[in-house]
Amino acid sequence: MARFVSRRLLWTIPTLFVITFLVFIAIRIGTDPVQSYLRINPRASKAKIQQYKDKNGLNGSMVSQYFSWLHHFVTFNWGRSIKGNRPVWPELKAAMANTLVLGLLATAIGLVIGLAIGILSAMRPRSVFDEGATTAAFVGISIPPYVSAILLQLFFAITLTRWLGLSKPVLPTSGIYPPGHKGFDPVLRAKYLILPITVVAIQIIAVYSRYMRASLLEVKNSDYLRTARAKGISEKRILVRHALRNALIPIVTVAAIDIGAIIGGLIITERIFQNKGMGDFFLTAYTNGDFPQLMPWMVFVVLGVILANLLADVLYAVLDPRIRLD
Amino acid sequence: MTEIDNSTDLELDTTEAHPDQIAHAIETNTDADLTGLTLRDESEGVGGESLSPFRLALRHYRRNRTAMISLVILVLMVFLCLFPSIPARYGEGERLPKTATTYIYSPPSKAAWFGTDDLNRDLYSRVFYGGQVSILIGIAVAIIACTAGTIVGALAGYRGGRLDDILMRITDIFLAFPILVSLLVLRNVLAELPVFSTVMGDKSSVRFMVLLLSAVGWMAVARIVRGVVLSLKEREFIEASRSVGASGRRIMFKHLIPNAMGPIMVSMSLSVVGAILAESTLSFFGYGPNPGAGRTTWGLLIAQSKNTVLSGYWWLVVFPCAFLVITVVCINFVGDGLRDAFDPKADMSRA
Repeated sequence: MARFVSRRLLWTIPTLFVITFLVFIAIRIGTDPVQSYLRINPRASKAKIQQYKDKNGLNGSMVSQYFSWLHHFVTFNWGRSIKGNRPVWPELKAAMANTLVLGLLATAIGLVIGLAIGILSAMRPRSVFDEGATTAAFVGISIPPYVSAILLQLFFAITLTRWLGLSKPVLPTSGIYPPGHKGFDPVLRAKYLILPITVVAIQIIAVYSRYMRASLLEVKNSDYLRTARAKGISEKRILVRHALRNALIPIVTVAAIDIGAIIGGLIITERIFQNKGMGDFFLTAYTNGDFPQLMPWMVFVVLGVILANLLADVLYAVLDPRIRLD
Repeated sequence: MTEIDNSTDLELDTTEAHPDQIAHAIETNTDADLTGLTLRDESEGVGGESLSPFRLALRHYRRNRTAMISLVILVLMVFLCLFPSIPARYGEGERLPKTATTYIYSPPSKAAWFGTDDLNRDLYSRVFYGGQVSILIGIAVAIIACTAGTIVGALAGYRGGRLDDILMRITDIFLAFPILVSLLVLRNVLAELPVFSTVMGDKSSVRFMVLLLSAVGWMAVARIVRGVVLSLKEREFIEASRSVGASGRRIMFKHLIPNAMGPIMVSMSLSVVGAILAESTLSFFGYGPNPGAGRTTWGLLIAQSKNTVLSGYWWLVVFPCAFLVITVVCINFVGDGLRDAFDPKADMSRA
């Protein structure tokens, strides 16, 4: 196991190298940092432009520019954003923290509800509950996040407020804290998180209730469960000790990969609710053509995906003794 | 082709049947004319009767009530959107006359069933006109992406080797990023590189959007088809065909691709959904296509409504969203019905 993990970890280095190179070329072609610089500073002199190029390693061929970027990146010399001229790292760090709070909370809530629905569905397939849950899951998967986000905003900011005759919206519909707020306030923070979490959790519930149902149904038809039943073990014990434990194995590995993808941010949700996370960070950087911000973002996203895949493989081997990693 | 090769097609090849034969067989409810298409339908327990895979799938599909209802709604929706002048009550850019109470943003009324927008245009008519562009984009992307994806996936699965490696690595890279990120980055690359920009057209054109979505969409199809072909190519009927000297091209187009038709049709339905949603998501962020002055798409309608949602113009949000979601839900149900219909194991897993 240790050998497998260390070998896979070593492999991430060349993988990251290749992917960042391709991404660098793609972004460099698509968004020329000098053009973005000129858009923000339209009256920059020739000398100023040259100075900017020298400082950010934008001279020479693409390949040499890439290595110059890599050198800056590895030595933690991440530079400043083109728009606003602010250092990249503090903003990226804050965005990551916001995204992890939103993403992990929503995933946790979504998983608990989704798995519960899936288990109940699989215990009585084709029942009214199962048919209802299946239909609801399909609708949930089909609703794009911005549609559910706008509808929730409309409902909580306008409709419900009017019904109840309030002057202020029932739930805040954008931001992390009210303007001007300083410090940490868990109750206030939770209030601002309810709507974005709902939007993200709807999707997770829809997807995982389907996974769980399918996985548990497959286990229920397995021979070892028939054996357990033949031995006279109680139905409750069969469900908990035999069926659920085995049915959860594929779910855990899929969940690990999904959690790794959180780092890429929940672009749509974050943008609509003004939740300044990784997705919002990317979209702002993309709109401004902010090359110095885009590249580190990409590195973290790729790293998240690679490590999550590794975690999924390891978890699979730990949970399922039939699988051996070598 | 030799006689012997044809006889190897007996079990599963459906392409030999003429449509008239199938129609006739359905009418008379016998399969006498369909020699060469026999696959005994044991799960149905119908003694002696045998059905082609496609008829079997059709029969399965017809029994799926949700899928049938969705198909009816979907056909109606697509028809009305493709010919928006039938349901529309006003022209696409036509402004309604002022009334005593409102001149813009009038709520739903007899004159405008879904209310009007910032230019006092009838939303009910515009939803259908917008649907025309959105659905056409979805269909165009599905056709391009599925054709390209099927050919690349079948080649990669059948030949293996270098092509297969390249396919898997390219798709791996795209899978590492959220789809929206891939689309946005690729959008800039395709617009900036002169090689592509002549074919792709202007960044904000509908053509650009179709090609951009196809450029990302083919990968999912290719991976699915590759997987199916990998499992099919070891089967006896392929080996039999090869042993009598069938060319690689014949095997691919006569055996592999027809037998992968089920998964291809499912991924086609997913491609339509993916394209419609991607178009509306990109429009939502202001990177969508501009279908021309006064014209609109579902994505644009929803995008414009987000600015007015907090002013309480709920109709601008609710109706376009409802149309989009109904269409997507129906396509997903149809796709799910197709998957069940083509999957012989589906009954077991649902039991």
